[in-house]
Amino acid sequence: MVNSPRSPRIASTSTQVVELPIPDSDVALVAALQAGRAEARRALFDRYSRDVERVLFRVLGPDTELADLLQDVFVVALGSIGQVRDPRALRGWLTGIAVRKARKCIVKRQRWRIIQFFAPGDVPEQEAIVAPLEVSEALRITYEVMSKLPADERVAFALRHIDGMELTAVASACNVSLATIKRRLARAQRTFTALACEQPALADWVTPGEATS
Amino acid sequence: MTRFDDLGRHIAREQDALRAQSSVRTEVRARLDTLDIPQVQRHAITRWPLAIGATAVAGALAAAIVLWIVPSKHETRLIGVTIGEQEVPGTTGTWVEAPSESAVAMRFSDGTRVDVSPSSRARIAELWPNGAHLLLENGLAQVNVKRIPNAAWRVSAGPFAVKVTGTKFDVRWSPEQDAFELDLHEGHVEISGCVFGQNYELNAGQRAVASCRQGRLNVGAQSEVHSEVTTDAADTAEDIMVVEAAATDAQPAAADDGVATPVTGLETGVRSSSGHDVHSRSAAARNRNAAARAKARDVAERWRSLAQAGRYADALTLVRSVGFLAACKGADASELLMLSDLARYGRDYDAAAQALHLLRQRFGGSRQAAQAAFALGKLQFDQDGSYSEAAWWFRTYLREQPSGALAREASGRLLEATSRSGDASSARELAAQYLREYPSGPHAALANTLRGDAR
Repeated sequence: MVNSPRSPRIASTSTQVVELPIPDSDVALVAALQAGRAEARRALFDRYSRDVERVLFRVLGPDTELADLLQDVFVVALGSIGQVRDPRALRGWLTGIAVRKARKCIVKRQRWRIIQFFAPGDVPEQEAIVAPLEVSEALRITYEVMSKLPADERVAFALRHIDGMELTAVASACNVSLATIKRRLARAQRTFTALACEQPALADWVTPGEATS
Repeated sequence: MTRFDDLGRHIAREQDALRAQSSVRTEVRARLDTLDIPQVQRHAITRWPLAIGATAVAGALAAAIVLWIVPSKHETRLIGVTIGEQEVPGTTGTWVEAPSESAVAMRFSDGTRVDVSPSSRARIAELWPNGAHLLLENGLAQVNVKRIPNAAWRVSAGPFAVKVTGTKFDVRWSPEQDAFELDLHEGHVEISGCVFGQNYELNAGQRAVASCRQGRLNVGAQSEVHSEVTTDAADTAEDIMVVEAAATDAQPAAADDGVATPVTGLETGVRSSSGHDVHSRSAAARNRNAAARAKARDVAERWRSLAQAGRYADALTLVRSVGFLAACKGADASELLMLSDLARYGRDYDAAAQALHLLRQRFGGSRQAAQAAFALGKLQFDQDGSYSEAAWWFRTYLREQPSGALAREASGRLLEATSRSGDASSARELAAQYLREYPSGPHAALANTLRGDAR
């Protein structure tokens, strides 16, 4: 039998103590996590790591820190699972943590660039974020352009246009109002268009009049 | 649908293809299994006073930074430098490549002179009012720093940094061999980076030979320590003394405030190939050991708790307060892995590698040692882009743990690293092997592509 989190496991053949599988519902999963059941941790990861990884990827692009950030999201989530008020919103709660982690990472890098600008000799070398070889020019340039957006606008832009999230979901993930997210998106679109027009790999995508609708 | 959505969908499709080949989730799942993550109940707190306080502190800091940076950059006169016999003025960023037949002199206005030896390359990284930061990119530089008050000089070579106040030394660096050497003729210098830890002090008449990649350090009298750069690295490997800071019974000495420092701990672990101590501990240092040990134990418990709670930044700050090597010294295999992770989160990749090398030296043959090999492969792959080195480490993992939890990921990474290193024939063989063992594994698409290329 495959030892999956949803498979019943016999803890002791002599006493026939059987661990119940983690049910599919998030309510039961959160309850199991709050009760400290070890297999619930794996169930949480198996159920939502794909979503969290996707959100991180969308916001940051190909990035060498992705694994560390993914781990960090789940460490925070598992550590603060006791604070989940509505277990049915588990997915959104995790997305919110992922968005905050990604945003923090962006802000940290932007601050680092400022420090290097003012005192380049006083800070150690920072790694270059190198995209994998198989990444296309369009993808690479898109994230290069996005790196010039303010962190909040970059996050909103990535979630809305790359991940395809609904506006309300973007607002919820960023923990701001719908009006705020609309303003951020409008600013991000203007800046992105201005910067992308200077890039041959993106010019065709963003030139006004080329939209499909 | 907007034009941004069109572009976004295109980007998302490409990302999804990359994600399908990625083993990130499997790696993180394995990592999480080893972590003890206690649940934290956060208490409601009033945040306004904190916010106001933080804003005030931030404002004061910003003002201090502005006051500190702006005058030093724009009002203070920087040291002057001329290059070569033609006395070409140098500035920040000036690159010097000496011809094969003669050295090139860099003469600084305070009387300091740096001779870049034939076929060597160096760069002025930065000029300061009382010194400069020089990068030795390759070869040998003979440095003679004028002894004046407040002099500040730094010479970097690969991952190593030499802090100088007034002294005379020769420094060699070969990035190909990953070999660093420093012969100190006068005064003293402090070397930092990788196997040296922080501020490793060297005295007149001593030679330091080091390799970060191999985790080796040899310090001793110049007449006793062999040069590594000018000979074949493989021939000299057995002559190189190995840092066994964590494996020896030596304890880090306490600084004046009772905090253990990594420097002495490292010094006491340096042994010659013949087994005798290169450095002997002073009696005073031994007397401070008990207090240092107690302090180290306390700090160790605290950083472990912080790390297990996911507070990596706090844990790393604490570890750094006692010195990374000192923390490594008292750590077991799992904790060394954790320390390596902490260093990596702090982007100190040299320290991360150092912890992993120590783990392999001290706990060779263990499951964690194999995990360290995998992690070293990842560091080489992700941070250095050294694909051949990375492949070697992934092979090492597979040799030591052929059925280990990371075997599939190591096989995939090995395939990827071999492919990127340009070894197409080996990559094809590995691709076929990967598909036999993991037909639907995360690297199956890459394996199929590589196999397809061969047809």
